[in-house]
Amino acid sequence: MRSLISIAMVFFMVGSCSIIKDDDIQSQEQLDETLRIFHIQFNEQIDPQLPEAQSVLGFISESSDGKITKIDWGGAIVPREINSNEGASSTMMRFNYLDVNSVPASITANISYGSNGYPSKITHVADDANFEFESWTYTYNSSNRIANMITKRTVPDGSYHIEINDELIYSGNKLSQVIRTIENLVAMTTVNHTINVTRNSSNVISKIFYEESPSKIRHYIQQCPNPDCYYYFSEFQVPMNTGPFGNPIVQHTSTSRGILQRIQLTDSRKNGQTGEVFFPERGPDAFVIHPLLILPDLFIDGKEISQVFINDWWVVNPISNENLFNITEDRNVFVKYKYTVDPI
Amino acid sequence: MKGTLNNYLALTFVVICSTSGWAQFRIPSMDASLKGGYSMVNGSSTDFEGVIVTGSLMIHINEHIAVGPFISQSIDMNFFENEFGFEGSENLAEQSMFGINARFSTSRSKVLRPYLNLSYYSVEMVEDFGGYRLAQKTTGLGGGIGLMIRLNRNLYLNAVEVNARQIKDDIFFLEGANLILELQAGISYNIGRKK
Repeated sequence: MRSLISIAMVFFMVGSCSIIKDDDIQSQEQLDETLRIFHIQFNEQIDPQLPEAQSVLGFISESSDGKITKIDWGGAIVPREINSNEGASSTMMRFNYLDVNSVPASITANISYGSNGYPSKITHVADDANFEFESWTYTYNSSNRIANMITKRTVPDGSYHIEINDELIYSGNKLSQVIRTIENLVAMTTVNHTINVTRNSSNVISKIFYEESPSKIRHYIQQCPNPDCYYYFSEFQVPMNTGPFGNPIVQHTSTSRGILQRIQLTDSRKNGQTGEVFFPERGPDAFVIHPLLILPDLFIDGKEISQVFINDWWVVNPISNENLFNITEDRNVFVKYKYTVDPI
Repeated sequence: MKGTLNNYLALTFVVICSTSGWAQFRIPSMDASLKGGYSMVNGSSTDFEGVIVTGSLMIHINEHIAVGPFISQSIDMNFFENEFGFEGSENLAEQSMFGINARFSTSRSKVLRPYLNLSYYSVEMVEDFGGYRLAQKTTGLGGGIGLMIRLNRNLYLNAVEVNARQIKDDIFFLEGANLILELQAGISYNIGRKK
């Protein structure tokens, strides 16, 4: 009997040893309350067979209530002339900083919020020039969806100043149309066009039509079997080319808990084909940093809306140069999100 | 780390008690086992796998049935998250299990002794992100098969043991995972009168 008691005591001791600590997160609710983005990392991969190369980190600052207020990007992905830098890094993220002769040392994104808790204004500031070269101002409808977005872009010498006014129209809380007005405040010209969104029977975007002059651009979007995962397939009619062209592929990937993990941007060269495929007619694409693309979860339906605005952040490079652009593999940029938690 | 150390110490204590303590107390016939192996949990987009060590005391009810507690602790475990077919993140992980086992075996033969086992247990799983950890505790029922090879009068080689252990509650960081699969091998030392 004593021996059995001894054995029971031993195993009671063993059973009382827990590997769970008091400060461990022990439920989804607790995780949701405390999780926040720590940094955003860009990786480039110029060949799917090669490892990714980290290009830059964007460090996140938050307000006391947990809202992202600033991203310090540093200067590592500031615009390099794509054509002159071919071979080193071509499928790349860049800011829409148009003055390529004056590369800022660093760029900061500042985010301010309105009374509804959603971003009211986002700016990109070049620190060395203390110059706000890009901004987005948002207003919302009664269901806190973006109703209007005003984009401003300019350069220090004032030779370029453009304002884009996007009015977002919803049908049953689903984006159905964007009416865009582009004002060139230097040339004093105005262009209007409409972006129409069509959906399938599951209310998922199936096509987006951009009517622009002179090029007509048509995008196809498919949703992966997984939620929050999309593929883009696009057809571009670019002057002086008859195609085929590599199409951009954009894929948002989130965990099953809905936490954004990664965005993959592919400059597709193989167009779904196997073996060596050569598209000498087109230079490497670039992807422009855009708040809707980088931080879609700041907005209601942000991922979906970011797809509608693919025109704003995907830059196809139609320049021909067979000697320079011997690109035969898909090229990727990965935007990776690293999270941490608030102290419990 | 402290919890892991405690478990190692306790596990050692179990083995020592089972091999030396019996000299001081009149204890029933039992097997003290120490096994090592591989454990794997597959979620919908996550894997939780690595090396585990298991210690147990199986008290003989009769020649065919033995019942006793067991403890299992991971010593090198990782959490893999597959991002929809792409290579994803990898974090350190930990798993600890404590429960009771029932073993149903054939009679004592000269060489081979196959067995079935059923178990009820409490299991703890931890995923370590460096700056923070996700953890959950749940219970489950499991079963498995194994084969013992007799090495000498008291010593058996557990040549192979395969277990499938159910996870009762959803582990919130292991979406879709409901089964722990284990492959283990080790030794068992028989204490006391043979049954």
